[in-house]
Amino acid sequence: MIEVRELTKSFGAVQAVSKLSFTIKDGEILGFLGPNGAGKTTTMRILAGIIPPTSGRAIVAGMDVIKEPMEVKRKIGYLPEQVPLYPELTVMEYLDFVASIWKCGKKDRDLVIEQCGLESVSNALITRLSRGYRQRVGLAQALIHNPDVLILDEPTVGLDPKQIREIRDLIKSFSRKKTVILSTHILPEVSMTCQKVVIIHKGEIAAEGSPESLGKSIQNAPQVEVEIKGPQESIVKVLSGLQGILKVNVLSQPSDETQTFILETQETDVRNEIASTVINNHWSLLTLKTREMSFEDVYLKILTKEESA
Amino acid sequence: MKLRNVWIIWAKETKIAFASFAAYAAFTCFLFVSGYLFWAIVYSLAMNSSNPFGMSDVDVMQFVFRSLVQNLTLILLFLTPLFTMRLFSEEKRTRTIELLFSYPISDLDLMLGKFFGAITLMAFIVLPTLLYPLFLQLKHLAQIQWPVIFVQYLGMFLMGGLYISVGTWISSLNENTGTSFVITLGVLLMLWMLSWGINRFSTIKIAKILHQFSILIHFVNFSKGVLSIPDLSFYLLFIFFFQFLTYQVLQSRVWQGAKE
Repeated sequence: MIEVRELTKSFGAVQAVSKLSFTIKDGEILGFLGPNGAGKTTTMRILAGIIPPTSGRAIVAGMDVIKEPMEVKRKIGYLPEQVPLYPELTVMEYLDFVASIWKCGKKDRDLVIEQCGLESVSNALITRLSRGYRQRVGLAQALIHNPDVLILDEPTVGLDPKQIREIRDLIKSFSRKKTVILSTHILPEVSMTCQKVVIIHKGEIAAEGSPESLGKSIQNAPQVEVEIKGPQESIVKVLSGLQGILKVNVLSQPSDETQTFILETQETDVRNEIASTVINNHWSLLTLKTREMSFEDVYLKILTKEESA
Repeated sequence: MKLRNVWIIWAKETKIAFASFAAYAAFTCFLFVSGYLFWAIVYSLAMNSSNPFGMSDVDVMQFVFRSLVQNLTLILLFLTPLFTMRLFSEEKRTRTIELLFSYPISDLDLMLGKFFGAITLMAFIVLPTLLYPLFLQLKHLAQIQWPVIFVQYLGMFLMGGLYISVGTWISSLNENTGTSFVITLGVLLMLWMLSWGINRFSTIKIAKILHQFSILIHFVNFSKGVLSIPDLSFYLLFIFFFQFLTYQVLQSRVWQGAKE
């Protein structure tokens, strides 16, 4: 559905995006992740046909964004960050304006009002709406012409947890029906809503894949977390001696001689050996579990790796 | 260019302009000031008239409406920046312009829709003053030559269009409405006063050139009710030029960083 090839955009000496390439399949939700100023918004503006790239290509629904901008725009619903709206108009007046641009009828307008849950505020002035409702109006204007592709720039910024959940559920409901690109720097959002993630940093792709596969690729070895009551020195010594364990890290050192260790292991599952070793040494085993890297760990690790490279 | 899109933008601009209090405030102020002005001019003419039977028709057309139109055009100069300042500055500040750019509307449609929206607002403020000649006519105080009034008002609209064109361009350059207002007012005042320091018969080349660019000198014929094609072309070219500049500003996002 969307294909981005070697996309580059420079503003004078500043290179906002450099040689970005990725593809999104029909009906997929792509999370576009990166710190502020990474080039997310620039990429989305190019895809939405607002600015042309310096070089490279972007193909949406089989059409080149540069060559057929007007046709591509018809396939896209765009919601910029901070949801720009006209405060002087009512929700209905505003949606009527957008509908007339897309040559949509009252039917389409009423459909998005229902879809986005705006019935109760349709005659209210936009300036009186809460952030959550404004966000919905923003989504409604992006959906009104029933586009195949949705480009949403930080759709949940500034919302309270309940509103975030509502917007997220709304976006999720488009899954498989529409192709969605969603930029964010909120990590749980990505693991919850997206099937694919592209992490960009300083205008370049730092990593891409599914949220789970990204976790696996970055984690060089499986880790085991173990909480043991016993003398620290001998525990470290004994555990390090076990086969399959690469490194023993002491995580915390609370009272009662209870300590948590993070063991970096080879591919094999070593939990069995650890358990019997602990029991054989007459220590107490309090916790024993494999440790998965959270998405946050993955993200930070990718960014810091980029930083040091 | 698609007329339909121009119309949609025009409708949106007008709706927003009339949703704010500013339009009605300007409307009221303009009517008050022009009403007082009209009364003052007629009163002083009637008092000082050498004709024992009151005002002659020539007096009314050449004195009353000529000075009325000239004064209203100056008042309009102070009001117009209030409308043009937000045309693009506000859309840039609130970023609604990003959405307009993402719609299938060309920059030309957008610009023309906004230009005619501002002209409409000006018409809303200026046209009620046509009640004054109508009043004189209905009260049988003077025989109004309507073609003369038409040319005088055409001149006022051309001058207003010029103000709007300059204001639109300045508004497209920055995202602060206050800045847009001040700069527009300054530029318009400069254009207005351009001819003040120039001797009409000066032999200095620069004076002759400045003379040609004076918006005031090109207004003289219109204020007399005389339609002159060179003056008409001057205003149309002026409007066209600043619309062209505005278009280039809008397009700049397309060519900035488009090629290495």
